[in-house]
Amino acid sequence: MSNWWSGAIALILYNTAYMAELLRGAWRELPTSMIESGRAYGFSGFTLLRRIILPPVFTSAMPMIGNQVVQIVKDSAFLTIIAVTELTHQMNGIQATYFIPFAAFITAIALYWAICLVIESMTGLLSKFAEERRA
Amino acid sequence: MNFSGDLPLRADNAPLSIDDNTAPVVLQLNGISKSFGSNHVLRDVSLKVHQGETVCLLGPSGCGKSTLLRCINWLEVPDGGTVHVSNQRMGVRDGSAHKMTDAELARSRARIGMVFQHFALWPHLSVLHNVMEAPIHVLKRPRDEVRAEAESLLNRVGLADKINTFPSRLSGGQKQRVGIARALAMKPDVLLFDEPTSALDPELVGEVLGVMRGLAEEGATMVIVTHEMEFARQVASRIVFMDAGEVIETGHPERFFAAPQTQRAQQFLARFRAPHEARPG
Repeated sequence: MSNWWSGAIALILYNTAYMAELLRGAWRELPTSMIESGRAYGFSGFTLLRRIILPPVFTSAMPMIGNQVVQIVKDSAFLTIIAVTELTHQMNGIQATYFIPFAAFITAIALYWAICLVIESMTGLLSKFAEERRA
Repeated sequence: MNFSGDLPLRADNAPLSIDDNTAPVVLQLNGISKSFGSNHVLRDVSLKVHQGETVCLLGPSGCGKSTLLRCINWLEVPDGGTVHVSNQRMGVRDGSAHKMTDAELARSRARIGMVFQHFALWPHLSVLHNVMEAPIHVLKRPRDEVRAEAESLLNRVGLADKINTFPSRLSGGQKQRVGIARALAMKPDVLLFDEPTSALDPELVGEVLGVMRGLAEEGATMVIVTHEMEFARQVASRIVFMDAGEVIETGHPERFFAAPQTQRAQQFLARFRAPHEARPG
């Protein structure tokens, strides 16, 4: 297995646990009356889950999901340890070759920041969409 | 406006006695009992509701009215007794002792409309889609047809200008009217109302009761749990008075309010009477 894939699998496993916990929390906070009205109107099983339960779970968990995605970006830096060619790893290579640690890592910071800003503005838009759709 | 052509109109001379009613029986409860732990909430409750009847369930708080309503569509599973909706048994497969599967139960529930005390609208869906959701995804009816009906139902409950609004932006009275439209969109055999106005500000109660009055006049079959005595007196075709999990008295509203037969009903009504009204005896 390539480094890239083992890194990806590690990140996926690790963050899936966090995501699951986030969604579980949002599900628990959901008013039971809403799910009950779904049942009363003849929803059951997968349709109940897909049409009635999951949409409000996602809308209420939206800001936390955004935070967690930012966390994934930051966690990706750890993959340099197993020599995955991600941002930190590349910058480390550059500074070792040209002896410019300061410039290289400042650039890395700027790029991480830019990625996070993009994620943040996207979750901001989604949150606006979700806001009026909350109970 | 005719919102669902298949509801027959009630005859002007609706029978006073329940036994005289020749309309088909839509809802039949037999010996329903239910307890939560050692607390017997319902004891051997039986009730028959004919097509076009508006039955108001009255009684003190905690007497089991809401639980009875929730037993009808199996949101609470009764410990004993049977529920038949349009001659089909709820919860148990016909002709056997087997419990229904979730999917079978869901199909049975789709024939019963329910309006909840706290509205229980789906917050992620617009008003229009709250009404369309179950007809499309449960009854699998064509979207265009459902949409046209939903729009006319919302028009009927006075919310034509709110169809694209989300529930979080509505007042309580508006939410409850959406709840009623949502129930009607299923064209249910019977409509259950669980204290539909209890969570509303006083000035919003009227708009919801107005819609329900209209339904009663058009001959919808309804079972209403309510504390609105004046509404019950004017709109009900029959009053069922419950106390401590039992049906204590049942009768025509004029007779029930003017001359309740049992002491418990008399006591209950005395607490609701306005001070200026003459007290019996």
